[in-house]
Amino acid sequence: MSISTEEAAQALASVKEAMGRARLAQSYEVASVMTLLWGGIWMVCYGAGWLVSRELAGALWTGLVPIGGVLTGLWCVRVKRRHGEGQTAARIGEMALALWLFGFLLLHLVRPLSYVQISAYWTLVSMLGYVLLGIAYVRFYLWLGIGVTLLMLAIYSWAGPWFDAGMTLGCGGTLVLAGGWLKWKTR
Amino acid sequence: MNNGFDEVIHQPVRLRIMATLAARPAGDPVDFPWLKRMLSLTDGNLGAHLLTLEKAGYVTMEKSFVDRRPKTSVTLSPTGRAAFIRHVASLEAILTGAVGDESKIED
Repeated sequence: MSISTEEAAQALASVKEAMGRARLAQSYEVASVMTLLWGGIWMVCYGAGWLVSRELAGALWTGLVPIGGVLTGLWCVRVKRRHGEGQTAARIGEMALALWLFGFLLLHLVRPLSYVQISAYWTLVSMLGYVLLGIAYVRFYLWLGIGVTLLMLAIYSWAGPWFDAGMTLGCGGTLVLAGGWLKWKTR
Repeated sequence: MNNGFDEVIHQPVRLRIMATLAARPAGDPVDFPWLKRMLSLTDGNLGAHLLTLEKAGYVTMEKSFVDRRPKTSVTLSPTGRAAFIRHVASLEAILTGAVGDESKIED
């Protein structure tokens, strides 16, 4: 058996392509669960604000965000155990925590804000997290973060009394659809 | 064989199968249909190459029933991972001219 340098280069390119594809599928597999979880929380909370009352929405945000945080942490632990990528999971967790602290501190300085302004504010902060995640790890998140931010700005500017409906169906719906698409890609 | 070059792995389809499995965490099984989609292969083609890799001891296949449907899981064995790493290293060596002949490797 003999093999030329061209054949070796071709084989290595094929290895690189196959491994890249498999790793991308793996990152989509991990990301899909988180996107569906947070998209679901958004839809439930903004949906409550739209269909019931903003007081209920506030209570739901207060209750569901810590639950979502705990579930995200548990998911990171599971990813670490299964994929052995503890360093990446820990780094993403640290980034998320830093972003949340920054968000709270900044909110403390600029408040009082109205319900709509606070909603837009937290959307900007969390979508900045998605954009950073996209720059560092999964490119898809960059476009998702930018897309949801632009959608939110449009809803903030023009939806008026339909703000909650827009956030439920537009932003929450986009996150759920994105999570579903990621899941479908790795089924 | 020479410098870790492995003829079983070098076949183009098997090389892609091994690369896809090697990208997964060690010991992590993948479903047959997932692998088929990843590599855009037919059932028969993938099955035949997996059998060759299984005979070489590079992959293990486990058949089970989930909801009364047959399910095949494929896992890269530690021997397979080591052979794949050696094979890739041998390809890199050919490119960098680390093996005696710059353009050819013979066995």
